[in-house]
Amino acid sequence: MSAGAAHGAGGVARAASALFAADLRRELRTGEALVPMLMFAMIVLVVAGVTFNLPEMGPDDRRRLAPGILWTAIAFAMLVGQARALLVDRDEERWQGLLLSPLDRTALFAVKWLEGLLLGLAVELLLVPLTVVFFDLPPGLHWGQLALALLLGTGGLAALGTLLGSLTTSLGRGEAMLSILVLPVASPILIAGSMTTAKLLAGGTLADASPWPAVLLATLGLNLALGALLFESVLVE
Amino acid sequence: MSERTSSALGRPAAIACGALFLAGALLLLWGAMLYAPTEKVMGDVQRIFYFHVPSAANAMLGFVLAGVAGLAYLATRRSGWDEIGRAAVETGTLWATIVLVTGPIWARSAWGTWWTWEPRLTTSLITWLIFLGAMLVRKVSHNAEQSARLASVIAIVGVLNLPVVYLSVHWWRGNHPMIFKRGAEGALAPEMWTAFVAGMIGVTLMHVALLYAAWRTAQLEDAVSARERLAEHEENGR
Repeated sequence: MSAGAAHGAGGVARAASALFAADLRRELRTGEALVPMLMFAMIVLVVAGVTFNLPEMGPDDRRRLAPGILWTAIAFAMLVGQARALLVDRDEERWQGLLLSPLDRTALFAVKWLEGLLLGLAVELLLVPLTVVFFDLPPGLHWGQLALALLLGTGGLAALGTLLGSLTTSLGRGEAMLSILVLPVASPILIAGSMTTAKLLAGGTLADASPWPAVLLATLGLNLALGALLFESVLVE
Repeated sequence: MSERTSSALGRPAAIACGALFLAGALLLLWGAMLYAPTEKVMGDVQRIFYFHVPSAANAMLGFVLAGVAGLAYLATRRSGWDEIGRAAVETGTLWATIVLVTGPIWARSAWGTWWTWEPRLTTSLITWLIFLGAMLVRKVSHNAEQSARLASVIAIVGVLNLPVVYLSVHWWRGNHPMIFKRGAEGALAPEMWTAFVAGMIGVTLMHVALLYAAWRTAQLEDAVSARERLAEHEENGR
């Protein structure tokens, strides 16, 4: 029986909340993960705008390009942010404390996943309006449905980033190694995210984008389950 | 395992391995190059099919075996499972590489382009990248136990994501030749079926031989590492 189980569900929830609150306070104070993520996401948009020669494109071409660039920016920003956050944990030797804490590994995974998800959603709060402006997209979208698609896709990316980020951190490696491991496995999320977003940008709904929202949901469920089951194996020193 | 036992087992096994590989290669070449008739539209380029499809099936076989071995290793922590997993990732990656070489050659002749982002080739590319990642993790890890544990995690994540990768890529694009579709134009003639089955058996025999050789190599690598650690320990103890 794990130490966390011995403390009961209430104890685990309290320990998880305390860890989440401590990490949130640190992030709000330092911005050590969010600031590089925001900068990186904006740079991806600007580089895409310049290299794809957006001023020469018509509105239809820009609309076709926007979903892929948006999801590329989200994926890379999340890799940067999650790798940074996990490396800071490691550098400050907080991992030793976390591993010795009464929190069981599944709860620890859940906290780190939630933190990754919130970081991703925070970046998207800036990234989506910027994409609308830069790519001259029509403002009359189904915003709630777009938010749901972003939530599902970002959740799946955060689950992979948390599991594989902890793996690369235990190898002492950073963003490059994490990208090599995460992006191929994340390809269904990126395809489904782009296809769903494309349909929504064309004025459609999530139902019109079928089966892609279901793929986003399935990858979220699968990668959360894999993370919960395998997180312990990447943490052992 | 003593050196004597290892060498006693090594020679006949090596001969059997070589014979199995040769038999498989000859069966594959006979079916693809001698027995199969020349396809009317594509000509001899169609013979790539007898190498390409069995390679793809065996790549998947290697990766599924790697995932199963990864699960078994994490459950039991027995190094034998890691040795099987290591061998399966290596052979699976080799067959996937052959798929990625033969696919574009086919595509160039059939569709006039080297790369088409069609579903199964794209899935093979993504799968290949996932398992190259597993091999890279082994290269950069600090010790054998960590290497086995982390590579097992990657193999499990990779294998369980494969159906989703396949389905999503399939829904995304969809112009792969459907040679097995009943009554479809371009479906296989009986002689082609025989050559195809010969190719499947041939490549699988070659895979078994390679898998055995890679597994034995992994076992010997582990034995050497264990001896080195022991020698180091004894050196430090003096």
